[in-house]
Amino acid sequence: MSWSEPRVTVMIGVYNGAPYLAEAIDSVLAQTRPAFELIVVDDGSDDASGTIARGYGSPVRCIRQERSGMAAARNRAVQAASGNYFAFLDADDRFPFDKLERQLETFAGDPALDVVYGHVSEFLSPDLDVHARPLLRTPRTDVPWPTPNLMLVKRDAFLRVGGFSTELRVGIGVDWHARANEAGLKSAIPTVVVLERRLHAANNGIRERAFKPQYLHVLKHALDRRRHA
Amino acid sequence: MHRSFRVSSPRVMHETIEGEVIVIDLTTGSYYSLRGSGAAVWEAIERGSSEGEIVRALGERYDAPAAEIASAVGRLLGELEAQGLVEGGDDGPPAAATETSQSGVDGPRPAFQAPVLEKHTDMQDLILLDPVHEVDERGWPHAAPAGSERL
Repeated sequence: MSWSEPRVTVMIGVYNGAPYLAEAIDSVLAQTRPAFELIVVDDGSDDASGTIARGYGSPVRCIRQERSGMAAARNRAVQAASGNYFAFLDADDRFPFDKLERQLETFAGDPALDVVYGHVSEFLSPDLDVHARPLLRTPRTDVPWPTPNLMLVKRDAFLRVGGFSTELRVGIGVDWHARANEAGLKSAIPTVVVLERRLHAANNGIRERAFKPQYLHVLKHALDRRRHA
Repeated sequence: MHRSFRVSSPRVMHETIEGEVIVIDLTTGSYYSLRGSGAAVWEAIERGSSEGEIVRALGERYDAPAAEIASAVGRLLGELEAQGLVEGGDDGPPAAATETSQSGVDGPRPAFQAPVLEKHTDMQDLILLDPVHEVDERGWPHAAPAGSERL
């Protein structure tokens, strides 16, 4: 596997993400090191998300499913993926133009790596209305973020950890990261921005605020697994 | 012994799950665990207890000399305060009446094991950057209000 040419499958799960989906897809198609394929899973949207995704053609592939949540949408994309490296992108975020190139560089420098993370820069969505803007925190720029939202991971390493938890509404990334550490994945966090994260009024954390306590359960389960390992 | 304690809010997220208290410090991204006697101390703090009341509650629950319990509780409260997880203040209202002495423990009390505050920093970057923590009733991720701009 270490001798085969990297082929990256990028995966986007989208639910009613029409306002920003095209920007997300465009940022993948603009990569200096092209992705092998971009799979968009339309998680039961009733806006124009599916139409937007289907308008691109190869290398964009579209899958439509009934609403099942972001974790299920990503897992569905993994099932369809034929690349040997996986990357994920939220439908409202963007990849910097050299994301895949820089993360593949990191892999080339250490073939024993299983997963490469990186830094994130947040930006205020330009369409925020004047009343919402002052309520948002100052966007953080160029900070490390070891999360599935920006990782590039080898296929077999991802499958070893397993898919995203479909029982959670929040803390999905924290849960996967904890399991990746428990599985002994070797990781790197190069000091390169590999994700532009949009701050806007409908961030997942806000929609799912009723599920805050789940966050504590994710950490409790991680501690339990560690103690019984 | 008369200082009362309360959980630092909104800095801290916490819940007791299967007898284990999990605490997240939203300002640092560190998370903590308290089990056994430590969980009992935390639950007493949630009720708004003074240090004396906490020591008394543990004395009813565990079998150990009062001085040993008092010393261990004092040490844990100091750690919790130092980590910013609890705030100690002047005498607050008396703690809600508890029924620990009639909690159905007829048999011998278990031996006392000094409480341990476990601290974990392996998820800091993830916890600090997750938008779920800035959520409040206004519905958007919000910055802490600047002191001079209070409405």
